[in-house]
Amino acid sequence: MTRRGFLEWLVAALAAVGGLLALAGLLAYLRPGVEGSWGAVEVAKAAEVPEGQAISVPFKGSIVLVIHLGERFVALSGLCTHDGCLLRWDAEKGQIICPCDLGVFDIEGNVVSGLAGRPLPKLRVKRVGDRLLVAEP
Amino acid sequence: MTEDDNPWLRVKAWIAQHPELERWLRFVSPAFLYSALDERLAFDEALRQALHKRIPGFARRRTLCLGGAALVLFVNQVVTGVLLAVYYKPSTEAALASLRFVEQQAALGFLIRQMHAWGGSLMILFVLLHMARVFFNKAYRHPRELTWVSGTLLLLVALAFGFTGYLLPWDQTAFWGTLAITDLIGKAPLVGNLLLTLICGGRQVSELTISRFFALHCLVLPWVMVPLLAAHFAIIRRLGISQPM
Repeated sequence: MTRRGFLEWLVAALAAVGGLLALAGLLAYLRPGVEGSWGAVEVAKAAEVPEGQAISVPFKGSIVLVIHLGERFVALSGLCTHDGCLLRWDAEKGQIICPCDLGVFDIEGNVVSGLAGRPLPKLRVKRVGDRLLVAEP
Repeated sequence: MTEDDNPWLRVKAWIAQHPELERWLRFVSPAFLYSALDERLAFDEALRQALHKRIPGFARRRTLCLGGAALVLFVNQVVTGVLLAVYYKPSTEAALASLRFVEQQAALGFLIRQMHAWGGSLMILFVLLHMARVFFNKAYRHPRELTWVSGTLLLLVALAFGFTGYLLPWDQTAFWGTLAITDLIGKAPLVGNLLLTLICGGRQVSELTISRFFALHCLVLPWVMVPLLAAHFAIIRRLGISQPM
C-alpha cells in the first residue's frame, strides 16, 4: 500500500468515525426522554423514599404523595378530595389516611371509608436512575 | 495508485467474478447503486466538471476565505436551527421553557443552542469582514457590480434573521432588545404605525409578534436567503475571482 493510499484510508476511516459519532449525538438529541414526552418534573431522589415508605412533595402548585411499593412507585394527589388536608401514608396497613376527617383511601386512590366522595387523582411516576419523575396523567 | 495497491479495487474485482453477489449488492450498497445509476445518467462526469475548478494562485489567500466561512456558518445555522425547531414552541408561555428543556434535558441540547446563538453572531461578523475585504480590494468594480448588490441583499437578509431570531427565546434580553428596534420601526414617517402592525401584529411586542417572527425566521427568510446565495455563487462562478491590485 502506498503512503497516499494509506492516508486516504485513514481520512476515510476518521470521517466515518466522526460521522457515526455525530449520528449517535443526533439520535440522542432527538429522544426527548421522560421529561420531554411526558412533561415530567423531578420531585425527589429515589433514595429519599425507602421501600414501604412515602413522601409528600410539591408538584406544579399542588402536593403529590409518592409511595414506594416493592419494585414500583405510585403517585397520587397528596391532598384529601374531601377537605384538602395533607394525606398521610400508613405503612403498616398499606392505606392512605386523611388526619382531618379520618377518611381512608387504598393504594389505587379509591375511597375505602370516610366522607370523601371522589377517589384521589393518580399521577404518572417513573424512576430514572436515582431520580423520581412525576407527570400529570 | 495501481490496482494491486488499492484493496477496494481488489474487492470490486473479486465481487465482479460473482454475478449473483454483484446483483444483490447493487440493491443494498449505495456505492454499487451509485455506479449503476452513473452508468445510465453519467452524472459523475458532469459533477466533476461542475465542482473541479482550479483556483488561481493569487486567490490562495486567507482573506479570500471569509465569504466561504460565512457560508459554513450559514450551513451550521440551518442544521442547528432545524434541531432547535424540533423542541421549540413559539408562544409567550412555552418559548423559554422549551429552550430550558433543550439546554437542560435534551442530550447535547446546550451545545446545539449555543452553536446556533454564536453561529448567528459569527455569521454576521464574517459577512462584514468579507464585505470589507471586497471593498478594500476594489473587487466590487465592473463587471462584478451584481455580486456586490446580491451580497448587500444577503447582509440585509442575515440581519433580518438575527432580528427575528433574537426575540424567539422570549427572555428579558430578547424582549427589550426587540422593543428597541420595533420602537425605531414605529417612528418611521407616515407608515410607522402600519409597519409596526404588520411586523408585530399590533402596536406592542406580544404573543402575536413571537408567532410572526417565528414564521419569518423559519419559513420565509430561508426561501429568500437560499436563492440569493445561489445567485451570488453563480455570478462568482461565472466571473471568477477578481485579481487584487
